[in-house]
Amino acid sequence: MTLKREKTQIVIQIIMTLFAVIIIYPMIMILLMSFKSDAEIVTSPLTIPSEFVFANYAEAWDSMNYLRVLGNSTFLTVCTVAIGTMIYSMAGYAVVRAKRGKIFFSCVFYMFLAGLVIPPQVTLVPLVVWLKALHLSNTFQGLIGVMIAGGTATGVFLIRNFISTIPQALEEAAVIDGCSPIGVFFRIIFPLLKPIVVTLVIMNSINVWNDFMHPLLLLQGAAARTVPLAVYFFKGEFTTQWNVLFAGLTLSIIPLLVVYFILQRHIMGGLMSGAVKS
Amino acid sequence: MERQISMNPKRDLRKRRLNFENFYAYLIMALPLLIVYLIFFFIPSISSFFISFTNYNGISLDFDMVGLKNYQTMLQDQVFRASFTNTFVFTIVVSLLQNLLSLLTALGLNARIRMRGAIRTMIFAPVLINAVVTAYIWTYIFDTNGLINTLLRAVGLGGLAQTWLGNPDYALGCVIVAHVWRFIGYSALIYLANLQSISSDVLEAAEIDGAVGWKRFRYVVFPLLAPATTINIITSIAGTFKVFDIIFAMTEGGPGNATETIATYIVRNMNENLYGYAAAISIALFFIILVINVFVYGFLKKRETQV
Repeated sequence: MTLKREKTQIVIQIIMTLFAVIIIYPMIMILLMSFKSDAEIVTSPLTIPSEFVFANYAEAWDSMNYLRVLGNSTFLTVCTVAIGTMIYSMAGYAVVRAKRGKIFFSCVFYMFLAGLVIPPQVTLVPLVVWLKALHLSNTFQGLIGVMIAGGTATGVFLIRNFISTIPQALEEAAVIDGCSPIGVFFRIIFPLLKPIVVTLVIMNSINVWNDFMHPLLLLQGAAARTVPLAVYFFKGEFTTQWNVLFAGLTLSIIPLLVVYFILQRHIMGGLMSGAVKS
Repeated sequence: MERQISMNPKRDLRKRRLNFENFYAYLIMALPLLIVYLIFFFIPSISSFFISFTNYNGISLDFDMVGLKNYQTMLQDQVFRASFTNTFVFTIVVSLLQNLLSLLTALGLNARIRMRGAIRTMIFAPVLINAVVTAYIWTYIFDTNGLINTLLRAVGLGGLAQTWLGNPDYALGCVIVAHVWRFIGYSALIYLANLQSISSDVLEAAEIDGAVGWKRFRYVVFPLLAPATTINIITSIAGTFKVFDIIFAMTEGGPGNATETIATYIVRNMNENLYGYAAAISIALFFIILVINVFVYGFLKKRETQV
């Protein structure tokens, strides 16, 4: 019995290790290939490079306009996530705790939730027209608005559910001390929201940073490219030069992977609780 | 922000009229999101319905109402039909494959193995990679001189080598593999969390009753994984039915229309300035997603309570 168990244990160990290697291999593959010379990538693409060619990275860096692109993505993500988290929390608080006009606030809440079943494609055609009318087409302000609005359903839903678990006695005490509802929110509730805010920030950062469809259609012009967009147009230039292309891909995933390896517990935990709660 | 006037809050709450403390303060807090949501999501969604009844081309504002013509065109459009079928195939195969593989992964990670942390980190890493990068990595893997063909030639099966993404029979399968690679870690994590919440008492009791191995999994563990299954199936269906980015970056819907999905077809029509038609397809997508969600969610919830 124990011998059989040990055998199963070893088999599981081998299968899992192999599986992890297979999953991670494509990333190691692009890393190795990104250092190969133009000649070596044709003759022996999959071996460890005989010499490491850093020129691929220099070329990729320049033609992607790497720092600019990284700056654009960071700006977009930070603004969307910071403003978004703040206003999701405020709205989530309002829909749970409003004392009068409950019907009005629950209508607002269900309108926010409609975003769960409306696919983002539905808004695309009107957005192109609408942003033009508001003089927001091809601007970051417009895209930030679209991304915040797109995350509304999940954001408000998670916040609302979290706030309804907080006992009201806390707030009532503050009200007796002369605090207005807005004051109660900022002084008492918002600090308590930390766990769910961390989850939201992680989920939204990854979504916004990796989003491709919205920048592609709503943010035209080379100067405004985000990371996924830059990679997309980069492929067009280097279709046959896998080494330079892979240097570009590596550059584009490094920032997020570095953050992942540092904060992996929080990221896994955040994504998991986000999925479980919504 | 703080109100200076101190008043008796209890008496105040009893009043029936709408005053700052019980209505407007909350309205002010909901207002920023309400405005952003109306401008950038809700009004556009509603106007999509309107645009779907016009022949709007995205450029000039003198468009005509064409009634249901866009919807009639859609029913006869071979490409739309192909995109509809592809989207269904993509959704069903991805959901099944992703859930099966991630369930096995979670069971493996839950076993007493060494280097569990490292293995989990590796399997989860692709979740962070954006769809465009995923698409290009797998474009190389399936390329004529790419990883798969090189491996096939190395083991003497060079005859099987081909341009995988250029073959209409295989292209959709290739995109499915790439998509599943990216999301196995995510679903596995959710299964793993559920597995770890099953108490060892239940498992021991099952063992005493003679449920071991496959039996224990089938009749004890798997039913207890119903919550994770619900979450994973709902998220993978929701995520795949509107799939756009990985397909657009990997094949652009080609070869022919072999990998065209509803979402890529919407963007293709927008690029051809057929905005009215694109809007009509997006409305169709909305109703399909709505129906599927109601149906699948109802089924899975019922299954959860039966356990």
